[in-house]
Amino acid sequence: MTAIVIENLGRSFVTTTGTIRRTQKTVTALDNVSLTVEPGELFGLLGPNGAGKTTLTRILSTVLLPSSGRAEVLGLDVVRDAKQLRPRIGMVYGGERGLYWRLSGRDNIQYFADLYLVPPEVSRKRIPELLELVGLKDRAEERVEGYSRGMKQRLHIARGLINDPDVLFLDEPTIGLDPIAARELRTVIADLHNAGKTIFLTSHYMYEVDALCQRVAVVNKGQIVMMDTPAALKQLVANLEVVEVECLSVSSEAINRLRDHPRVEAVHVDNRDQVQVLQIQAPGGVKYVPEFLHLLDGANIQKVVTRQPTLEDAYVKLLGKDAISV
Amino acid sequence: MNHWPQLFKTGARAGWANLSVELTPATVLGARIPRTVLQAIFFVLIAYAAGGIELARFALIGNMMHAAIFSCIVDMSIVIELEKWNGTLPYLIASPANWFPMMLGRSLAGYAEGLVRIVLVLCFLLPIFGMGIPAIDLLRAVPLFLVTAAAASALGWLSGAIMLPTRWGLLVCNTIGYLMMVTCGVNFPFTALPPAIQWIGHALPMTHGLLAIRAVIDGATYSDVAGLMVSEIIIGLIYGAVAWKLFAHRLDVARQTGNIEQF
Repeated sequence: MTAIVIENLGRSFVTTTGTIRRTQKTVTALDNVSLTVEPGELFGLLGPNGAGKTTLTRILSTVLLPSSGRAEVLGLDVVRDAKQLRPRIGMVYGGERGLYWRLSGRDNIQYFADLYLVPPEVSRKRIPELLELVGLKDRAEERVEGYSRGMKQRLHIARGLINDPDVLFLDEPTIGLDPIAARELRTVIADLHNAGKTIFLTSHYMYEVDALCQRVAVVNKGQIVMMDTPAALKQLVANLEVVEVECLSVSSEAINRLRDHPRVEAVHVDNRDQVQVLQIQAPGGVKYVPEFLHLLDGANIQKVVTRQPTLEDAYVKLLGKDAISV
Repeated sequence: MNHWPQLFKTGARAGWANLSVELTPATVLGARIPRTVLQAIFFVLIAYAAGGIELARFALIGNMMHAAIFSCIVDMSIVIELEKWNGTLPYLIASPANWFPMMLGRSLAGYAEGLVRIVLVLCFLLPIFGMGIPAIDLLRAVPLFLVTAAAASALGWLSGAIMLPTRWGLLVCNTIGYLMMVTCGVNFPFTALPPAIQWIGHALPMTHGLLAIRAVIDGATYSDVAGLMVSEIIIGLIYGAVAWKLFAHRLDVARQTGNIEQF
């Protein structure tokens, strides 16, 4: 049986603006999305902020109803069979909310164990195991309000696993974590996958889905742009070279001049603290570096490097300008 | 149903944990005790000036009950409010369990706080005004207080459910508190209130419970006040049922509209 089946799923939201004259606006978060996830698969959903990743995760975990289409998890319809489905899935939403800050880490897990109808004799054994798994055993008796962001995130993972779910939904689980905490969390996710769990992971970190996922769907503006293995996505840019130009003050006119260059396929601007890094994708890009630098005249260039393309470059190519928010 | 005791126990522990965070020496000595005692002194003083020791005793019992019952309403409303602030409502929606016993358990902390408030008012005011109420009569009133507190918690739950989409649930709780002070016979004999106010008082929890408690403290038996307590229980059940349906409805609507994070 397929773990997750999504057919033509759509979801729109109505938002209102104004106080006296209220204007309604319909925003489409998901537009005709279809995909399947096999049992035991670690599937990644990659996209920029506002692409529809969280909306899809919430529909699949029965928290939100779809506007159109249908979705099944473990053969159960997420709308019609929500009650039967809920004990069999776990969900972890990103961020610091979703925990009882005044309770200890252990009491939080116990609270959710009861809400998920885990028998006391099982939860007594499982809670210490989960706290050990996420590295919180020594801090389990402390109130969550004193936890770091990374600790809260790991507690979220433990909470999501309390009912030993067959399918685990992870919505941007490493968002906001420092690099070490994020790496530790990715190790936990990989271990869960190795233990046979089906995992549906959303992220806007390319390296994360590249490192963890067997298949990945790139979603933008509520639609799936491409779905394949990370290796196949990288093939999209296999013939390209990437020129990275680090500069202090590049104008939008200069970027447009670069985009108009006949050999350039995409330009992605990455703002890193005080500097801007232009990632220029072009076949045989190294040969055209002098031309690129000429087009960037006055940009106060600090460094130029060339490298082989990554999944991130495939993502940039797929999403074009929309990838800028990543 | 076999999970209910466990859910109730965990809810009670969570309720206590929520309350205990606020029970620091600074908040207890600087706000909780003075607020409860000073408010009671204010109204008992007025009653003493207006009608002597008998009316003062009447106001003392009314105000100690009001202080206790008000904490039950606020604590239950805060339970809902905290779900919103903690961002745990999506998890509540998606949980397979019936969370009613969990909520019931979480309201227990309010009862405990209410009992402490009663003891505080008695400890401070009885010596100040030179009054005496036999301890045995007070102890006989405790079960009636617990029933009344449960009914008031249901009102707190309803208030929390009504105010869930807003950010001013606690303001409404305060308004309810003042309404009860005026309409439930706290400072004036209930039968002496204007009929319109009595009508409101009859529809609120505490009115019948307070009448029963006053009667028991004055020597009545439980069977004498059974009718009043049945009324109190029925009122509590009605508030509880409406609160349950409304809260569930709010969560259903949130599932449809996707606005659960905007509460």
